[in-house]
Amino acid sequence: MRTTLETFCLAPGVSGHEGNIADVFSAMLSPFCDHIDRDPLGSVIGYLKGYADTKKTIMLEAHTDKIGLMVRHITEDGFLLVSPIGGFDTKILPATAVRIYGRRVLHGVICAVPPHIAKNDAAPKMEMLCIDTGYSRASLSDAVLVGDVVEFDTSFTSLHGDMVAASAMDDRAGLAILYHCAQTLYQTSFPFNIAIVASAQEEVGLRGAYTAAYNVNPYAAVCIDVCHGQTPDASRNTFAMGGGPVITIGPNVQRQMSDRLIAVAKAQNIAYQIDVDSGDTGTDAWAVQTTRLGVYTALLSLPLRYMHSGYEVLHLKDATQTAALLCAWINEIGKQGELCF
Amino acid sequence: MKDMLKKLAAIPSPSGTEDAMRNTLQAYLKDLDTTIDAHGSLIVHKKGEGEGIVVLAAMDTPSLFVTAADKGFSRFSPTDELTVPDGTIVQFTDGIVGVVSKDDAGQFIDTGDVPVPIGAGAAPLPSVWEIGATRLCGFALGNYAALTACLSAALEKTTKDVYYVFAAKTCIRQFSPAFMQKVKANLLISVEVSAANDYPEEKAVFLSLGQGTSLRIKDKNMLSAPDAIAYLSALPVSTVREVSMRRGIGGTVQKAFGGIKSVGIGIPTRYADTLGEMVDMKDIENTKNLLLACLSN
Repeated sequence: MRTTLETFCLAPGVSGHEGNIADVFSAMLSPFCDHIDRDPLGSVIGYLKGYADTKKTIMLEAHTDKIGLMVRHITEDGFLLVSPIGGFDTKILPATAVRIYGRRVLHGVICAVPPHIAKNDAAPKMEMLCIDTGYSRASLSDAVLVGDVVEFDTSFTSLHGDMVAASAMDDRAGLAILYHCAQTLYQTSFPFNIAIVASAQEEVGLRGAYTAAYNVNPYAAVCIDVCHGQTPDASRNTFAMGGGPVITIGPNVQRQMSDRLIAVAKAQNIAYQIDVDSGDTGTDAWAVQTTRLGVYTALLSLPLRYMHSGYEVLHLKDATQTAALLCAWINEIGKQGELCF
Repeated sequence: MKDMLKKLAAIPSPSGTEDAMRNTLQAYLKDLDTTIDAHGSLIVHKKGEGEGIVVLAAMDTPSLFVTAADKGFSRFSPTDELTVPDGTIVQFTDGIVGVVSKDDAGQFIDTGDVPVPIGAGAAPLPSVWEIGATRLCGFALGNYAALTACLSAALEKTTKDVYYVFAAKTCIRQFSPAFMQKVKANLLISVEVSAANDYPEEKAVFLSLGQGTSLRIKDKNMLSAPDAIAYLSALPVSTVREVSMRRGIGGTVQKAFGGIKSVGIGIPTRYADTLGEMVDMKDIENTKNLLLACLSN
């Protein structure tokens, strides 16, 4: 799981520019699928066919894209003004190292005003943030264009025990789980088809999940995303790191599916946590659930610290346990014959 | 082409009451295969080679709708983010003219002693003013310019299979992309209004008038496909890369049903979303040429 996660986290892929991670994921997934498609928005869809006469499909979904920035303007003195792609907390951006994907990859640092000369400690406005590459405007002209994307320039780092840190754990951890599930599930035939979906453009409005779910037309779906991990200064709506997958209950998911996931977790001695969410969850589960005539949907989340930062911290055990729960759940419902909730 | 723009810009076309505009477009397109969907969008299919391409432009403009009427004074609600200062002269689709003002309860439209029914749509009085050799200004001129570029391209000969969609009700944000069920295409080119800010003391000029069509790599609700941007950039037509902070109409269509690969292009427009939008005929001609190059290449 660690190696897979590292491979996925380090692959470029800001929303709308997921070509690299989509290629990486497709190449790794293809040995375990009957065929793989790419939909018009760039989502990867790998199919594992069920019994010959099977019509119903279960969709297992995570998203490929990560948040990033886009170059909006190059100033006379060579600084890059940027526009956000996805949700950022501008407090954490100043003095952050970034990588600019231009005609070649450039390194840069987001400008910061030192506390010695700062007029106040308010969070900077996004439109005021710019990137310092060290180059002049003239030198940049053959390297960077308006519209080039920018990512955090961070590494994949092991912390103590099973804790790892990198950017884009949201939702490359979900992709790693899908990959490990495909490795397990392709060895068995089920009375339903399985579609492994790595959807594009989640961070900018769940766009890829809408079209992928429409194209797959599943009977049921399990979406995998991240939720907030506990830290000393944030205890509300957070979940224990290493406490196992978080199973959502609420109107954005089908209660019968959540209950089955809980029952399977208990039967398999897999630790789990419950998140009661009264809203639309803000995840692809909403797009999937409301597609076409509606889709039976469940949501599994991984506790993640420092979401949408350069170093998001994940407990590997949560990822392996989520993959184990998902596989056990698929096996369990496979035993019941025709797919029905 | 300037005459076409002036003719179109003289037609009030509030969202949902685009009949006059649609009739005018149909008259221009009388020799082509046109259909109208349930929401009033006009679809023109020009059969040709290869996979279909959808060229999308709005046929409506931001507008005001009467929510309550009393003896010639009408309260209203605007579409989109249209704000109208007091003193603005507006015209309803049936020709009635009124003046916007306000009292303690908020803004109203004064139509003298002429009653206006609840639900009637109005837009600021259509007006186009020429400034110098190539520039024009007026209400919603960015919308009308995009429409003109698409309409004039539709009237030219091209080789690819193309659907021109003149979409209705786009100014209500989540307009219906139902027309996508009538087309068979794998690329959407959405022609939008792009905000130009080439003012004398502006330090960060994102877009200028007269420098070419904007390639909208990103706007508030759509990310253009990188390969489509690269393709348009390579055509022998002046283009300028833009990261737009405006909402476009393409995003709604891009993610409709099974999705479509999409790219946004924009007509540079100064003072966008005001009553005095300014455009440059060179940009409109250029946008038409970009479409023709794309649809014939």
